This record gives sequence, C-alpha cells and structure tokens, in this order.
Amino acid sequence: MIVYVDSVGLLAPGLPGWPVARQVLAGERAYTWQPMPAPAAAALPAMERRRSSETVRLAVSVAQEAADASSFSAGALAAVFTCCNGDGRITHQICMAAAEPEPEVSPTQFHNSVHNAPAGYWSIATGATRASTSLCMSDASFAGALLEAGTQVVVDAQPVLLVAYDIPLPPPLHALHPLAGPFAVALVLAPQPTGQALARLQLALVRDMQVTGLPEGMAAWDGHPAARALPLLQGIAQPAGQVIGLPYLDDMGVEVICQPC
Amino acid sequence: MITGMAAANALGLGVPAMLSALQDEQTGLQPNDFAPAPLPTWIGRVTALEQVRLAPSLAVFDCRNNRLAQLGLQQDDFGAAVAGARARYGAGRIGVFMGTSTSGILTTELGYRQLDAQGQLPAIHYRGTQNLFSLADFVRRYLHLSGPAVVISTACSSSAKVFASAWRHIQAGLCDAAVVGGVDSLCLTTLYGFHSLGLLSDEICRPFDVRRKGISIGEAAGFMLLERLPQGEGDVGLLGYGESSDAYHMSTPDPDGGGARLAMEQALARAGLQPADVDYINLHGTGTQANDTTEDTAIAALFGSGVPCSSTKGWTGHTLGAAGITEAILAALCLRHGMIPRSLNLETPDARLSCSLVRATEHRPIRYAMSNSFGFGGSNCSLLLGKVAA
Repeated sequence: MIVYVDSVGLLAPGLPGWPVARQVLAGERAYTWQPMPAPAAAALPAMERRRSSETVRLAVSVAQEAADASSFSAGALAAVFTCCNGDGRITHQICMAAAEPEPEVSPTQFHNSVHNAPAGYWSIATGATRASTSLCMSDASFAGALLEAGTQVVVDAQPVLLVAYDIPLPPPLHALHPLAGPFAVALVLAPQPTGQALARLQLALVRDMQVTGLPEGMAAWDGHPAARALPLLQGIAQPAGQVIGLPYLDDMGVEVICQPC
Repeated sequence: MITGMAAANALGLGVPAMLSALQDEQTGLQPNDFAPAPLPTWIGRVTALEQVRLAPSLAVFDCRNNRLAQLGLQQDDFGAAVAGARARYGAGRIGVFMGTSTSGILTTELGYRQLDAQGQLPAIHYRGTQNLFSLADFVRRYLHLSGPAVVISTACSSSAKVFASAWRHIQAGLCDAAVVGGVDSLCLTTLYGFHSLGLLSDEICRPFDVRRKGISIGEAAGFMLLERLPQGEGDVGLLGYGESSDAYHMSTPDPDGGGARLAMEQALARAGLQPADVDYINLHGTGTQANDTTEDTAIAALFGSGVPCSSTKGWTGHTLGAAGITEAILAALCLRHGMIPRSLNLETPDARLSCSLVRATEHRPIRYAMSNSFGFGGSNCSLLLGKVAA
C-alpha cells in the first residue's frame, strides 16, 4: 500500500508540535524532556472543551495541528483514531463511583468514557461527517491503525487523518501499564502526492521483521504504544529510502519504506 | 460471502436458538438479576456463562467477556468452518475484526470493590481482560489464526464497522478471509452509565412505542466468517456498508438524522441498490425517545414508508458493542428463512413516527435487508446484506 504524508501533528513532553519535533528527529537539535504544554484543543467549542477529558483535548490538539497544516479541509478527512488504554482518569473515576454502596456515575463522564470520545469530539468540532473509527490493538495500536488508515486511503482513494494517543493511567490502574507520559501524533495520509507532501510511504505486513529502534535520546518512550510512531516520524523528517520496521502482532511487523517526494 | 455464523446471547446458544425465538416471538429479556448492579431494569443475560471455563493455556484471558466469546465460538460448528478456511488460505491470511465497547472491564470494576488498605487492586491480567484488544487477541488464539487483527470500539456501531474494516483489509490484500464479530457483556459502567443518562428503562424496552422509556442492556457474542467466493444462487453475503459521523453531540443523535441517512445512502450506493430494492430494515431501534425519533426521520427521508422495518432489540436487548453483529446475524437469518420479524414489545406505535413498522411477523422470501447501528459520539454504520445472483 502506498500513501503520501501530507502533514503531521505531534504533542508530547519535549516534542511541542511538528516544526520543533522535525528538527529534533532530523538531528538538528537535541531531545530534552520538557513538560508538555497543556493541549489547547482550540477547535472545540468552549462548552465542549469544558466537558471534555484529557485524552479528548490531547487527541483533538494534534489532530488540529495536522488538519490546519493539511492540503485538505478537516471536513474532507475520514478519521482513524487509535489508543491502547483509553482515558485512565475516567476509568478510575467510574470504577470508584461504581464501587460505592449506592453507585452514582456522572452522565458526562459516562459518555466521555467511550473509546471513541476523542473521535466524536473531533467530528463535532470540525463538522466532519465522514467515517471515523476508533481502534485498540494494545501495544500495536499505532502499527495496526497505520494499516487500517492505509486500507482506507488505498481502497477508497481518499485522504485519511490518523491520530494515535495514550496518556498515563492514574493509580491504582497505573501499575497495570506504566507509561512515561502523554504522547499524541497525527498524520494526514493521501492517495496521491500533494504539493507539500513530506514523504511517500510504502506499507507492507511482513513476518520476522527487523524492528527499528527509537531515535537517539528517546529511550524513555520505550513501551509507550503511541510513541511507537517515533521511528516512522524520524523517517518522515528525513526520508531517504530507509526501511522502518514497526512491531505488530506476534512475529509480524509493519514495514514502511520512506521515500522523499 | 458469509460462510459461517455463530452466536450466544439472551435468546440462547447458537443461531438456531435465535431463529426459534424469532419464530416463537419469545423475548430473551428478563428482570435484572445481575447481582453486582441491582438496578430496576430488564436485561438480556446469558446464564450459561457462569459455567464457562477457559483452557489453562488461555487462563490470562479469563473474564466474563472472553468467556462469552468462547461460548459463542463453540456454537454452530464455527470452529470447523474456520478450520476449513485455515486449510484453504493459511492461518496467516485470515484476519480477525472484533467490536466491543467494554471488553473485560467488569474484572477491574469488581477489583475496585476489593481495594486493599493501600488502595491497590487485586492482581489483574490487564492485557487479557480489561484492555479492549483482549477480545481479538483471545479470538485469534482460540481459532489458531495469525493474520491481522483489529478491535473497533465506537460504542453501538462497533461490530457493524468491523465488516467495513474486514472488506477493506481483504481488498487491500492484507488477508483473504475474515472472522468478524463482537462481544459485550454485563458490567457496571454501562448499567450505571446509561442509568445516569436516564436512558435505562425500568421496564422491558419498547422500540418505537409511544411510551418507550429507554434501553434494555443485553450481552451477546456473535461471529461471522467472510470469504470472497464464487457465489451460489441464494447465498447470503455482505453487499454494501456505509459509515458516517453525526458531528452533533456525544450522547444525543442529530435530530435531523443527517448522519444516519448518509450511512444508509452509502450502503445502498456500494451495493448498487435503490431504496425501493430493500425488503426489510432491521432498525437500530434502541427504545430511547431520541434514537427512535431520529432514525425514523432518516428512514422516512430516504425510504418513505415503503419498506417494512422492525427493531429486534425487544428480543435481544441492546447488546452495545455486539449489536452490529447480533443484528447482522438476525438479518441473515431473515434472508435465509424468508421472514420479516415484528417489532417486539410494541403496544402503541408512536403516531409521530412514519416508517412502516412491522406489527405482525411475515413469512415470505426477501432478497435485500439493511441493518443499522448508530452509536454514542455520533458513529453511524449501515450494512446491506442480501442474496446474490449466481
């Protein structure tokens, strides 16, 4: 499957947006772990932003960066959202409430607890009525979503917004899957090269693949499902025909050949 | 083409139990007796679940949701159908596409009722239970498959959207066949959550009734095996799908029904059919005031009142992440057996709604059936199933 990267959004400690992140990934500046600025999620109407959760604001912010920089309008994009753990804060609060002798769950929290809450808020913010999906493939959530987005780009010949995000879980859930910090990335993928296309990606599902390591200085992100995008982002920052191997399920991997456009 | 189907839900174990329930007009719903959540409501419970045990090699997956998955997979010779596909294509060329809204979260919810003095949870196999992907992971291992796998979690449209994802993965060459389906089971989040929104009826759900008060939650597991095969006359297959977003509100559907209509139009377009070609619409028909009104608006705009419609949630309850597959199975049964089921528990149809609601079950051959699934966050999916010509 061949897709073209039209734009990128990125938000994580030390990676505040694609322009800075691109420089870091291209080796033009060192990576340092800085606290992440609070996601603005400016695309959300004020009332929705007040009701929204941390994962919603994070996912919407990176989606917005990619959509704003994209050749396509937000409304023209089908969307693939992917996340391993959902919003742990909400899970925790609902579980605490449900453990009470007389359980009372907040209705807003409940509708924010659905895995597709970020996708739903994004479509409300942009008025986008195209298909939107929300996936979970555990640690392989990014690679699996890249394949799903690829099938949509190739089979439907349409541009797709891919958004991957994960935030740490609060205690006592934290121990179930410890994560170093929040991380979110968004890619607009197109069926044909656009005037501003950053890279051409050739995707394949392969077995016994060589896994590409994290960029230098980013070992703290090891084990973070959304940060598995980092080797691919490094390829997009400096496409030169390199082969990037993203681990998938069992012995399978998603192999990406990154070419310049 | 659909070359295998399996189910376990409140109507019983196996697809024949669903057919019998439709023919006998016997609901699977009952007053709530799920002890962890003693709310005044009706549920669709799978009582055989309490006796299910997983093999020791799959012990890390043990939770209510995966037990229900196993129960479903054991029905209808589904294992044999998948084994046949494995022999034809290879285990690595069959994908697994599952929908679920809450997976094994009940394990964690109950764990919160047993926090220790330091506020720590009892030991939980997180990736095998609570995590949404555990369902596809379990199904894949149980069926000895090693191709791509996807879990879609978009609330009530989850196990309808899996058909679209499977179709595209096959078209793109990532696999040659697919196991699609979904499983959702009783848990505190959805029972208390829908209750907090005022959407959980305290009586049996009455889709499209003027006195409808909300949903009855049901648990269910459903699976289909899809392959691209030369078609035999009369075989039932997936002819089209449509997906859209409401872009309106997180828990209320767009009253204009625009998103729902888009999904239905797309499904028709992909199938190369006109609205008048559809013989039966299996409504999302949850029994809430908002859903039924919105869905009716969309259907009236697209189909007028010419197509017989019914909701089967009066039989199974709203099976949430498993609604898409459960109702696709029901639609397939209707196509295979020549039946248009009535909308169960309907006493007084809401006169403001104009779609042609089936009041008495009909027995006659039908060729094309649509199944709708519209979820929280405005996620809409419409499937078109039908008999293909040779």
